[in-house]
Amino acid sequence: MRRLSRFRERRLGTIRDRVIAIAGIACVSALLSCGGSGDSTTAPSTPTYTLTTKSQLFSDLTKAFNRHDPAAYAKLLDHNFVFYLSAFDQTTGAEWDRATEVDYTSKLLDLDYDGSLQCDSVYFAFHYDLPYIAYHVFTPASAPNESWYQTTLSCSFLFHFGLGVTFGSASNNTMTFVIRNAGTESAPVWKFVEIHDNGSPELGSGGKDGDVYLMSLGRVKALYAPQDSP
Amino acid sequence: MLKRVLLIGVLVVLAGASASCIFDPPKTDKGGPPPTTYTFYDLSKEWHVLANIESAYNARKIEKYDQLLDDNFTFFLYHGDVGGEIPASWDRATEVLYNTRLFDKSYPTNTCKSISMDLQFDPNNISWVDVVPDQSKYPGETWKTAVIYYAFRFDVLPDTQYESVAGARGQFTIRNIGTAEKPQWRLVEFSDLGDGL
Repeated sequence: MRRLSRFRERRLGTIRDRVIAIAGIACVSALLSCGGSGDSTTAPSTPTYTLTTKSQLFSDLTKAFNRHDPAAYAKLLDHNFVFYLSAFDQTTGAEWDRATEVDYTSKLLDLDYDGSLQCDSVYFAFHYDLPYIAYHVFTPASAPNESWYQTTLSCSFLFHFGLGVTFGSASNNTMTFVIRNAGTESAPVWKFVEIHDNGSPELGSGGKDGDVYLMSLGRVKALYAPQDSP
Repeated sequence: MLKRVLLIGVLVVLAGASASCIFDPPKTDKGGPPPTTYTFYDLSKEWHVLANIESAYNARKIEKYDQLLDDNFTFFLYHGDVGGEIPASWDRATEVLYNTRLFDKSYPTNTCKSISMDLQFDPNNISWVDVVPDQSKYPGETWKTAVIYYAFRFDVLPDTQYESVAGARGQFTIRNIGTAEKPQWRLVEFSDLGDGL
């Protein structure tokens, strides 16, 4: 009995020791396999933190125009999007909604548009003076739980039409963009919720630069308004 | 006996937790706020410098940023920034001073309440190019340089946000201050290239 007792004690002791040893080894190997804690030299298999910036919207807008891709442009617009015309174009109304913006822009970018306003060539570009964009952050009255981001950028464009007419931006042409997050904080989806066409003071005189008629972007789009529009 | 069982239980739980990396979740993010845990590497590999820059900014750890800068570090500003009171470059001390203020949430002027920094690189696929520095100053040395896309966002009180433009790039030049056997890489030059336009 005594022998059996000693044997069981030894046996149990051995089992306990093994369990402890196995658990210890598992613990150490698990810690090592994590690889990211402390001063590891192992290259992570996944990229590091990724930041989705609002500025990608401007890059995507440029591509959508220059590639004649109205569907890509429409994806950049918030459901409650509003386009505000410049003070120089108030004769066509002060603003229009998302559906109107998509309608006019689709026609402008449609290479197969059937009519005298068929635009066969588009050039659009933003001009960044700095490698960053400064946004004014504010809480809109219509969405008190959100932060919206507003910035004004210089941009230029040229639209060449089939009849040999070219409309282009004046120098110092600017537009003000308001952006909101239509996604979540962890997975943001940035959208334009407002675009304000500021035009350029030069537009006041309705000028011409060589063969190019100087226009605001809103004015060009408004060419596609139904004939009975004001 | 009970103590042993408890000990084993704790070890098993610890092993399981460690295996699932709950103490160091993956840093991959879809664009929201930076992760709340950060990894700082021992600077024994080239990519450690880039990874530690990103983590130092996001964690606002000036001592970690200071640690990765070479004694002869120089920051070269984007050419569009230069002019007036803005110089073409500044030295290590100025860089540390400015970043100390940037990282300090209680700094009274232009208080930065939020920082997001994303250096877009694959640790296993960085195109480092050898460069030979001024040999009268650094005899026998060869540095490495790489151009990396990066994105940043700084929320500054009261209501301004500075965010990088798409395509913003930086040229990062590193130097080994250790030995060939035991390298220790440091950032010796950082050139802000803007968006290349």
